[in-house]
Amino acid sequence: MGILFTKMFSSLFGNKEARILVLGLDNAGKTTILYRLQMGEVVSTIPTIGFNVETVQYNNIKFQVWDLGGQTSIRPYWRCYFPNTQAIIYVVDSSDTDRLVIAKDEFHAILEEEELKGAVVLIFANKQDLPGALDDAAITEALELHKIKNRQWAIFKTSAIKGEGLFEGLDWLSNTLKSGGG
Amino acid sequence: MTFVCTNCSGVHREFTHRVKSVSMAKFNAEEVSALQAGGNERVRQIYFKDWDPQYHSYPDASNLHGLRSFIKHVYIDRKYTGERSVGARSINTSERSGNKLPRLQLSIEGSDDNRRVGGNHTGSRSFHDDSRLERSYSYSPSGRNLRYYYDERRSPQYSPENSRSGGFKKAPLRFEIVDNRIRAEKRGSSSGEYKVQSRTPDNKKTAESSRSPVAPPVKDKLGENVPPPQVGERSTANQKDTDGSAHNQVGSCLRYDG
Repeated sequence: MGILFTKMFSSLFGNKEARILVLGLDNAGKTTILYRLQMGEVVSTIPTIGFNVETVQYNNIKFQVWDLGGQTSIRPYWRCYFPNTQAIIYVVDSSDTDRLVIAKDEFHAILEEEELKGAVVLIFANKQDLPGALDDAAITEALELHKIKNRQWAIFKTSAIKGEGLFEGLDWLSNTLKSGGG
Repeated sequence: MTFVCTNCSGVHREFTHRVKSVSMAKFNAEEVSALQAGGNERVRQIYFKDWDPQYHSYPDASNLHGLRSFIKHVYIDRKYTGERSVGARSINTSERSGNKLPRLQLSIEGSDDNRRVGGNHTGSRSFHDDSRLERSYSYSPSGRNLRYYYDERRSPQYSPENSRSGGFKKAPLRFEIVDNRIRAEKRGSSSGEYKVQSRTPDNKKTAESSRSPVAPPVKDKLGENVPPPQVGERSTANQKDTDGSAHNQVGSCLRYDG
């Protein structure tokens, strides 16, 4: 009874847990975003070997955020982390226009994955602080987000350096997850 | 394109220079020829033209703040390129370049060695091989391995308001990644008091994997026929899950709960 009550309580008032993968090309800003969310600070990052994982408590949801290295040779390992994932945060360097096509291809390859069928997708059009960064509409176009079917998704303009847009994205994510998405 | 050590790679990233890992990334033909045409010696000729070892000194590789101002002086302010009136030129260049941000492509060299050193800071395992330590520090800017290359076409001028380096404060307090020794080293060198709580459950394994073969010199990889270097297997062989199990094959997956 005690246990049952605890479960009911936590489902009513929070402590929901969500497993989130942060994916994107190398240099997109995944690790910076992770630590910005977790510590509220900008840290100096180097290319991630393997992954970083941190817990971020926000809006009564305990996000277990996995930041996976984006370098080309280790992207094939992303799929190892797909099972039991409620949401993907896909990070795009909005100023890296040369590689948007690659970003698009990787993105749609992820969406094809059976194990991520139920995952909601949050896109961060990151590095908005840089001149020449494309806005969310342009990134939506470049990533061909209109092709997404049967899945909840949203895109936010972010600057991990300035701390802008990240928690707006998490707001959307927590609302979507609470309402049953993912 | 050029090679830098892991310490410097983090700083270059703050200046929005793109960094690729030699061991974890693939290099396309264009990048390979950029390396061949450029390379560290060529960049040294440009950016260290007026560098006089008698008057100027290299920063300690473990001093992140020193590294940051060094890199800014050399590559952003271009203090030693032999050009005059640095301030004025900076404005001119940004006009000329349409105010596009610098886009230095860098590759990390010697990351394996640095990873070993990083392990020393994590406290998750003991550090057995002192020669490794010495060796990894030979990748400091004072070492002969310092070779930079700016793609001027894509790397015009840095402007201070675009700096992404302002916010660095301190390292994350906790790492769950097992094989994160580069990061650990970097963070470790940047703040003396920080503490990494590595969740490595099996220190012995970590120590073993740290003795994995050193990456072959990049020149080997960029040899005559230039297949893009792909070192995926080796780089990922060090990956482990939180339960400590290693996986060695490309495409093989970890098992975890949660």
